[in-house]
Amino acid sequence: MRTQDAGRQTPAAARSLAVAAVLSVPGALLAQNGSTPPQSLEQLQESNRALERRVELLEQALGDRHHTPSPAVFDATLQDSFEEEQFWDEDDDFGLNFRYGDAVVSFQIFGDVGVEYNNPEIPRGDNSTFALGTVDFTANAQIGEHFRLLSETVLNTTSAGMTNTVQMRLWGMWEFNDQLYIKLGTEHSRVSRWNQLFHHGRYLELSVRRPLLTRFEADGGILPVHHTGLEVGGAVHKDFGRLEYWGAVSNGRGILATDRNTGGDPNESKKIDVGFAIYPACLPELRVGSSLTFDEIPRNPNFTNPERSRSIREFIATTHAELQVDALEIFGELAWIGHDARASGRNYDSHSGFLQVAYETGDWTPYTRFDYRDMAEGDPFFSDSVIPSRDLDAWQQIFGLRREIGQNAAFKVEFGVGEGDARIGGRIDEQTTIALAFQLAWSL
Amino acid sequence: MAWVGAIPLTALLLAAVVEAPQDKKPKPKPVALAIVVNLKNPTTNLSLSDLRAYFKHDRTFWPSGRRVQLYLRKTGSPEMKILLDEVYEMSAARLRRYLRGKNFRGEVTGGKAYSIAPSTEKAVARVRATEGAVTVVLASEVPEGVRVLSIDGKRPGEEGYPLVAAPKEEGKSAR
Repeated sequence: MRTQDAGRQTPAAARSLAVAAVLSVPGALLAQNGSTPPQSLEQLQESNRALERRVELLEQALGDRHHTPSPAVFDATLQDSFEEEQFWDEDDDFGLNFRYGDAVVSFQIFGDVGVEYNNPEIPRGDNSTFALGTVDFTANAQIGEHFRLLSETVLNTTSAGMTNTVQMRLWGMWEFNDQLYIKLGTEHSRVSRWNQLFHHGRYLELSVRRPLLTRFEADGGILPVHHTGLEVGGAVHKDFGRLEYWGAVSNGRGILATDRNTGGDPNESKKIDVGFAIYPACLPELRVGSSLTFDEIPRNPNFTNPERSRSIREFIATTHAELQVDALEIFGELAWIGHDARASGRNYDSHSGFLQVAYETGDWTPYTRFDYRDMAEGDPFFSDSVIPSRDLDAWQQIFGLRREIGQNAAFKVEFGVGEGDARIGGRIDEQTTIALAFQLAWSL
Repeated sequence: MAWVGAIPLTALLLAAVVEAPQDKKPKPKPVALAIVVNLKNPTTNLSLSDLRAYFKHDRTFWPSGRRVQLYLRKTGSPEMKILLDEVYEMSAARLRRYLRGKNFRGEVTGGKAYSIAPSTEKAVARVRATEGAVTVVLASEVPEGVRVLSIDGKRPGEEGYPLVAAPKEEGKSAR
């Protein structure tokens, strides 16, 4: 851009030099000739020709150096359009932005790589694992003043080296005003604030790993963190502060806890989400919110557990609090998950949560987080998988350090210690868990 | 009894400290930040909390119904320093992550809802050309053809106007 800036200034500089040359050459001629005027018309014409040649040479030299059009073709109209283009080029500080007619499209790419050591080893690998994280392509388009589209595609690599392409989000939204929007498509569910804030944007996420509560469905998570459906919401600003509200109707849980149901719903009953959050006027740095989720989990036609022979009624209540005061950041969530097995009439109640505290000091941000998961053992939905571990308790305390690298990248080092239940030889044993993780995450 | 003589000496020293002439250097004039919008924007006054909501994109529409287009300034510019201290109340790095997060979640579209204006002239040119645009310029550099908003009923330069560069104090560093 500096080159373009220099280039943009060059015609003016060329003009100045040309003018200076025009002004200086007659003076130089006069100096050469003393006070004697030119002797004839031929001499004057020759002087003019020399002058023109000199101006041409100067313009050529400047043009070669800066690749700019000559002042003759750099008219006012062209200059205006050039400046418009130049202005737009300057906007690339926050991702790659393009304008097409009435639409503006903003592209962002998130990526991460890392290495982990886990003891005991995690199901998909050995104790120590180098891992490609994900590459996340997000395109966010604003068309006109009220319509917005978003597409998020993620490439991730399995432990077998296969690369999967997953369309994580795809939605269209009409915003009537700040108080009301309608969104249709696949979106990160608002059941968890962490999930809504970060998801696959690992660079945005302070820590290396997600809390136990907000892990993805395929990574042993216990919340439905994706949904496909219709969401309505908005926000109002009143004397008491800012109130956000939302509600959604979506496909809901699949047969197994790993299912995302983006392509369809295995049962007629839809998942209902409602929630709110408030930033009180007396302490605007604080955000507190809560959400409720109601769903009917479909029966498993291939059930081995009789409690999966009929559907399970699910109720989830979550609450979160965020506080950012200067460099201090406190973030916590709690969730209660209730499952009523219609086949047996039994109720299974589980709860989970985390509390994270961070303090930003320049480019460094040390942080710590306590995570826990207190699960109802034998929950027919959470234990119905190839590796039944979602219904087991765990806790961990992590200590981490994040370092910003320039404006678009960060590395994070994290150490965690805790305990977790594991099914070993048909019985449940409590094990001490140790994890060490390093991650390099970036965003373009 | 030598300590008796120390009493008046101590008193003299104390008086010298108390009576020491204060630094007579003239205080630098405070630098105020003006919030400027398009002349067609009917908004003339915002509360500081509303201003924060607009600049943090918690509010994305003006009362007139037009979408807010924010033209921020380069990191390190005096305009951005005041904006970070008095409006965003966060560091430049955190603001960057904050806006990237908003963009990632689809709450706003980068390049449309917010972008960087490389100079006062270009920021003002954008505001003149776009009804929903808003930017910040130093109050001493406000040009013709734009409207300067009052904040909490105060104009830049008036007593109590909140967007003023805090005078540098010992031990307090800018964000």
